Amino acid sequence: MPEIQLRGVWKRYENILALRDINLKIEDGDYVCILGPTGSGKTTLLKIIAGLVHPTKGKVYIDGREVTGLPPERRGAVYMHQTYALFPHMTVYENVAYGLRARGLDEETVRERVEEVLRLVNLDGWEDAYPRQLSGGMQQRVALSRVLVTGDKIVLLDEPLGALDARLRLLVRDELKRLKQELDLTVVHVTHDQSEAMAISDRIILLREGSIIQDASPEESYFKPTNVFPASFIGDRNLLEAKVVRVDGEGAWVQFKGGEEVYGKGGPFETGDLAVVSIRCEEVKIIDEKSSIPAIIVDVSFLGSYVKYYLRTEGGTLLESNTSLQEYLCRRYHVGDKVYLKLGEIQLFTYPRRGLMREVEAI
Amino acid sequence: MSNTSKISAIALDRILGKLSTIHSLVKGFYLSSILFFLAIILLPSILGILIRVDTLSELSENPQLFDRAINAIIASFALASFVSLLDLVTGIPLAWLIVKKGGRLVMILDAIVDLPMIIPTVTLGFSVLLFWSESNPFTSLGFSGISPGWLTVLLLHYTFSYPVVVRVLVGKLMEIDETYEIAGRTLGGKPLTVARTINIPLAKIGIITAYLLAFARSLSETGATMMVAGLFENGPIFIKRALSEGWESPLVFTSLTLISVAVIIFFLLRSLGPKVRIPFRRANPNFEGLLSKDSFCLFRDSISLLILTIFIVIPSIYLSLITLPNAINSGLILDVFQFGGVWGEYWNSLLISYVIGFIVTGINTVFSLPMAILIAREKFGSRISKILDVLSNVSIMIPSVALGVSIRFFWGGFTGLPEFWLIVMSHLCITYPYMVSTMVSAIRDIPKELEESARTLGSDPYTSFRKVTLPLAKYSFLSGMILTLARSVDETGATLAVSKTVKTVPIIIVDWVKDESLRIYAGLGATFLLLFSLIILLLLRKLVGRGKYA
Repeated sequence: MPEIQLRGVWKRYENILALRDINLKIEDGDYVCILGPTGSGKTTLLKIIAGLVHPTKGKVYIDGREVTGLPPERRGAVYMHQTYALFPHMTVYENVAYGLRARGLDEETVRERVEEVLRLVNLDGWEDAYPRQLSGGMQQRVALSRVLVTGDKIVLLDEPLGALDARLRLLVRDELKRLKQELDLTVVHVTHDQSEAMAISDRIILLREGSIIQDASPEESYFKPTNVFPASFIGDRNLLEAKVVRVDGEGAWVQFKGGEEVYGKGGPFETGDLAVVSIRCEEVKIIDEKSSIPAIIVDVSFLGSYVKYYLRTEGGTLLESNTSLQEYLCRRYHVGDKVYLKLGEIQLFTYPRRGLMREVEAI
Repeated sequence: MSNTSKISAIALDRILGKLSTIHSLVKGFYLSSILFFLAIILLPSILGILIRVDTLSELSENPQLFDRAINAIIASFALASFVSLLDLVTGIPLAWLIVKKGGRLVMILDAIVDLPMIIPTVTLGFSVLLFWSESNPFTSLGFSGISPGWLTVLLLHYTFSYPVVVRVLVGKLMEIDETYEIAGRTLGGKPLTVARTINIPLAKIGIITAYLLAFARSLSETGATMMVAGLFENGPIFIKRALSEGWESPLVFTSLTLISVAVIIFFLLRSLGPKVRIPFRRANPNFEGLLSKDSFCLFRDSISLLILTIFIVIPSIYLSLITLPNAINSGLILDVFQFGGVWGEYWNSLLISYVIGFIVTGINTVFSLPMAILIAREKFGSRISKILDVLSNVSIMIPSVALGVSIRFFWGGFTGLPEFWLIVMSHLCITYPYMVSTMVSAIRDIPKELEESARTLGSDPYTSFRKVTLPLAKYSFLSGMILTLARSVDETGATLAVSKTVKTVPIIIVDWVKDESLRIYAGLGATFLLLFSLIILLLLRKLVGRGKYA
């Protein structure tokens, strides 16, 4: 069973610590996204699984067998580079056939399997073309078929959609999901795009500065971030600095700089502590009732499936509200309109040691 | 390919593939290349001279010779510095013209620039001497010609180092992303301002490399310089004279000083050069705008082409232009194919030159490849790669005659080593940097992810190298081999220093030029050497081929 496990993996490049104490288990058939900002160690982690980079410390297991010292070609895990790394001197056919020929398969089998996989990715008829003659999307599909044709059940994808335009990205994203199901693959997919990770994966591993910050399902990552960083990286949230004025039950009452007081869950806190208030943008509701927080509309962005309102409360606190298209069509607000806000679920986080701005600025 | 040989090739591939997965064996493979480099290239080039340092105490006994040695050393560095600077000043506009103006004519121009590089320097030296001498082709215009001396040496060095500078600069300027230039222009920069503030600073490393190569080439050249020097004496010529006269102490002093100063300059330029910033304080839109106008560009391009024609192209081919028709008309050409007398000696030396050239190319290819992979792919870490990269280029800066002297002292201690092998040893040292640096840059140009992908697709290290890296780098490797072969066949200074009895073809031609009675043959001999070099070059290209991708 293709199961991947990393135990206490560290990687140091001269003066840079790329990974620190990574412990991770990827189950058979999982589609796992490794998410994180640039320089967080995502590619290093993937290359360590592939055997292209050796960990400074720690062990890697595939199918329960230790593979730390094993060369890439003997791991049964195939790696797709973010630039696709198509061999420029070989045709599409030769590129796709490469892995099979390298394994010593006879030419008849190679031909059958290459033709089959090219059909699967709708590239039949392009066998004799060179990579330079193909569009970005076609190159991506060649790279994918080159990986799939090997029959290896572990597929490691390094930013596979990074070089595609927005429309193609959606198409290939669905294609990847379909192929994973159809071929029963275990996929580890590196990306820095949270929406890509949310849409495609069964599990998101969030990395920052070489450490795993959160390892959870997309839903859990979205609704229950463990601290400020995942809250800022996944989903669209208001993150605001506030002071704890009263501890109450599972949370506390906090006060924004502008004077508004709200209740949120989280902690533990003590009165006088600084906290970070996290409110998802869709939880900031604009209402007409005069009972809640008064604010004015500062700006409006129409984003297709939803509308983003930028708001300023009377106390000067800046908030963002995502309103569904349906609600927007029923009731439209304009810049300068006086409105009232109703805040939904509020989470409180311990104030980060390096400050709120610095904590989220890596994004 | 027959079935049996196909099966043997597959079996060999499998064996090599298996061996390439044995970690200790691969490490040993790389270590052997380091060992070869230290034992055969680096240490003999330097230690040979160092072990004779004790003779320097005798120098005070002959102050006249000491003064001569000092003057020769100063002349060498002054000449190399000036010529390299002249190369840069006149080479940048031509490189710019080649890079920025497309079209068939520019492609032809691009090929013509390389002409002096494929002409053996002794042929080039004799050609330059005849072109600028008293019987020059411009006598009817009132130009009386130049007597052999410092000026003819300067003109010769300019002729052979100019193409090196243009070639490096063309490569570097082509690498610069055009979008920077477009950004500069759309921000309001005049073409000259953009070139001065964006292209030139971005090409800085290339400019330093070009300067270093031209400097090294000028500092090192011996054979052709001897032909045109007259009474002028630079380092290599003084060393040659000291060798003939048996002045050991001045010989060691001059060689040691040339090697030390050249290596210091090399390290200083390599380490400090990239740190030098070319400041951009302000532009002068009116003046730079004026110099960017089409009419001025046309004037600048015309001057560049005139320089190329008068100082580089015509002097390079002048010898062939006058020798062949004369030889055919006088019937002298028939003597060439009589394999006895002076021509017998000529053909014999040509054979020796090529045998040495092929041995040197073969050995250097085998040992340079692992070294190049080691440097380009940082197999032992980036620090060791950087050190090896710099060290492997050191011998390029050492004047070849001084290097020959060092090799002679070093290997001379091993009694029984025939002169033929001493020549091979010295040529190995001289050509090694050309081979390694060509291979390093070829491997660096191939994205590492191609090899990585091949590995995760199931290939062992050997197969991924053979199927992916080698086909992509094949043409560059061939260029390295051709450069090595040409440099070895052409080498004069080191050969003169290590050999008394074995004569390679450049030595024969130098002897003929110096001997008035044989001078008539020198032109023809040099022309045949050129033709032979061209044939070998074309054959090698045909043999290896450019491949589908290249």
